[in-house]
Amino acid sequence: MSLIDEFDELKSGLKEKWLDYYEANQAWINSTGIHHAKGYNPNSYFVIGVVATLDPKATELIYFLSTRLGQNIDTITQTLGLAFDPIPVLKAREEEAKKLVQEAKLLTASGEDYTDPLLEELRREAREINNTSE
Amino acid sequence: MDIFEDFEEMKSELREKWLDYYEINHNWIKAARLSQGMAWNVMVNGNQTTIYCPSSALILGVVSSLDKRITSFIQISEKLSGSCTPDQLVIGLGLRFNMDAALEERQRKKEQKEDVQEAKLLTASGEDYTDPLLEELRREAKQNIIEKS
Repeated sequence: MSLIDEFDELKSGLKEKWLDYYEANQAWINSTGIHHAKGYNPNSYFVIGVVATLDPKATELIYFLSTRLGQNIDTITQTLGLAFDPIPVLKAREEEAKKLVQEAKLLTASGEDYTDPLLEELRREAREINNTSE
Repeated sequence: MDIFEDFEEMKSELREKWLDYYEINHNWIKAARLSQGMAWNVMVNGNQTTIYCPSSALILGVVSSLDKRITSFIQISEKLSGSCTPDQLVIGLGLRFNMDAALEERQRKKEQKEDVQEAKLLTASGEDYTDPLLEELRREAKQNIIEKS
């Protein structure tokens, strides 16, 4: 795997972990002012503290970005793709999940009436043979 | 066990967990660009003292990921005294202290304990300890006495 692929994989993993964490802890996060309202990004120190603990692989990258590239806490959060308001993203994720469930249900429902064209063809042929043999 | 004892126990466990984490992770936490909020002026025994401790939001992010019980503590604090800022919560949880000094102190205590244990082990084994050379000499001496008599 290339370094860039690895980075992208780490990034998308961090995003999912951060969203899961936020979903479970939203009530107190909102009341402390760490993330006080929709439309704002949460405190970068908090975001970095959480993801660094949930995924220790992130700490090496955070250290590198800070010491070698001179990034501050806000730019590091941006580089890791975590500088966003989680509320609308969580809502979109929820709707996406709902849609998937519904699609799966539709597939199962239609599956009951589903007829295989090849099977139909074979049935038709069999009937014809029966008819001619009579 | 009452709620107060429960809380004190959780506090001391959190402190240890946070120290353990800091011991391994102080490199990135202290990295130049992340160290904002490291210096705090606090009163210690009536004197204005500067201590070094990471930003409160970072501490909350780490400890709330390490130990989920902190969530219920925060919710209770809110019920009792309205919303709390990260600084208030960190102070309430007893997590604002001089990290580097606390780590040194902990290390010193650990080494002391190890020294005591080592000394105990040495003394314990010393009681039954027999030197093979000494045994050999004793045996020879005994034989000599037997031969002479």
